[in-house]
Amino acid sequence: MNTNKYINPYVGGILLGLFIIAAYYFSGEGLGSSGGFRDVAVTAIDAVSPEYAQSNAYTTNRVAEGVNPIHTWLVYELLGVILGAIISAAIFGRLKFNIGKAPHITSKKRLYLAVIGGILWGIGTQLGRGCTSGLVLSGMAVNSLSGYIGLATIFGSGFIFAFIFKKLWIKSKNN
Amino acid sequence: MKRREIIILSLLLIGAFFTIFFPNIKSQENIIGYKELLSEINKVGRYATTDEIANAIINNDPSYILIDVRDVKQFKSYTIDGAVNITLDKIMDEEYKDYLNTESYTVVLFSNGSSKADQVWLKLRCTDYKGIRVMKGGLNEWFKTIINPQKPIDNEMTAAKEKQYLFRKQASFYFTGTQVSSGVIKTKSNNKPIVKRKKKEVSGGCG
Amino acid sequence: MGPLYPDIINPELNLLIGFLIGIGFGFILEASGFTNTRKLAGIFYGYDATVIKVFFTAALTAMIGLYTLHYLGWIDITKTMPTTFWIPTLIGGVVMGLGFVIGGFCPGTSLSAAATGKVDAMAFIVGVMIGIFGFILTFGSIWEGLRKSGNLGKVDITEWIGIKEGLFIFLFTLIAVITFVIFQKWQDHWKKKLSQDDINDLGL
Repeated sequence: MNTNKYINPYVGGILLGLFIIAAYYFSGEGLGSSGGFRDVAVTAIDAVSPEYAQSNAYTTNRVAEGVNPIHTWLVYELLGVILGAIISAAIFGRLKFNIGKAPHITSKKRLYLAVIGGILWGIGTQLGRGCTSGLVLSGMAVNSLSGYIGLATIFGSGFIFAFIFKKLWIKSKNN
Repeated sequence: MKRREIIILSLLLIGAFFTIFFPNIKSQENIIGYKELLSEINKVGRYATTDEIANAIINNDPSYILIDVRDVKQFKSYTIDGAVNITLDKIMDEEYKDYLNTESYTVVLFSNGSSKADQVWLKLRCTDYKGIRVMKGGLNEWFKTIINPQKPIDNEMTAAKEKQYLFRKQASFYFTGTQVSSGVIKTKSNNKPIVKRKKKEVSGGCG
Repeated sequence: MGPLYPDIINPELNLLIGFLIGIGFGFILEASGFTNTRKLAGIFYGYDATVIKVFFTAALTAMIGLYTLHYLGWIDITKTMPTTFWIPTLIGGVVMGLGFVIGGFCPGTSLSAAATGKVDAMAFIVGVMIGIFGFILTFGSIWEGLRKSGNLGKVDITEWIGIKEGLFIFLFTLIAVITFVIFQKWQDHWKKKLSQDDINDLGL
């Protein structure tokens, strides 16, 4: 296997920080992700049943007559994310189908775990009003308390859960 | 750690160091422009008449929040039913935010005349609160029109004025428990809390 | 003065800018290795410090940059302050932390990973959509009250702590640098134990 080439993390961090500044400067929005997923979900619900979308307390503010709720800043940003990732992967030679996992886990198990993890994020982001990029990173960038609460809880609980679920990622002598 | 990384981190530290000397970010209150404020002061809509207030109370309209901006002594000696006492110096306090910063309620300020209530209105208008009104004429007007309404003299009497006078007589009875120019004096308790009930229509006879 | 939208930039241009910024975001994520779940999970076990380096550096750069721009009058960052709902954010954070360890992704990284062919990321995204749909459909009965609770308004952490803004930024930078050093040492310690395959996969 060839060595994966990645850019220097500090350089990556500075660049990312600059993009956050740009996002706030131009659009008044922080770099986010989960909001885009939500907007897609809202659009789907609206397409299936506009009446339900208007009655549901969560979606009612995001749908309106004759307006397509897909046209949000975050959705367009996520489209850009897809393109940017493809470009980078093409440059670094990582554009291929595979499954990322620790070697001692089966692919099947990894896929199940990915779905479960996704469901947790789906719920967690809607409750917490964001994910690591939108809630924490962008929140910290403007000194918002919410960002720091997110930072402490996501990473704090992450460390604890990582210890509990160690064998998902670290091959022990018995695995 | 490589040399490039040390440079990057040092730059960050230096940059962060300089920010220590920047002034704090003040939480922005919505600064309203001077011209805009002047035009708003003169708008009629910011006033509520004593009739409107009396009507709201008699109908147990829960959407009105009445605020007496005078001092505690005056508030305790007499105030309009259901009014809350918040003075000018306390009006920006956290605990009253919910009373004021609401779109679903009509907030009406009053004082003895208009000047104190207007002062408080000005202060609130310079912040984010919208839709706050002042009872025109204050308690002085309240006494003149509701508690002790003056019957219009005959050559001023119109149908509308007569209706208004009738209403004010009923209102007077409601608030003081005494009928204007009637021999019977009934007592009633003052300062009833605003009960959240369904709105009732004002009937033509004895409310 | 920023933010330029909505006063100076019209909505269509704003969406285009979002798209362009997204390209940069996606590129950096992939180029830094965030499409690789082993790298992402590595921060919790110490064998890969990339996540904390990129994350904190980005936060610091943005913090210092935005505060400086605000001081220079180029942007009004009070317009961008989100509202803090501490209870649902706290609970959501714990749920997300669990999701991170089990799923190995967060939504943004999963999208860039899926875009480059990672099938597990696609499965992750399916899970996210299931979670979001489930949340929306049960919102009225389960989540509504919780999501609105703990509203503290728009709280600036430096005000909350009671410390000067710049001082907080400087101290946080200091803490971050120390954190980088610690995680770097942890990573170096691990590297001796990793197989060459692992090292290649992680790009260390």
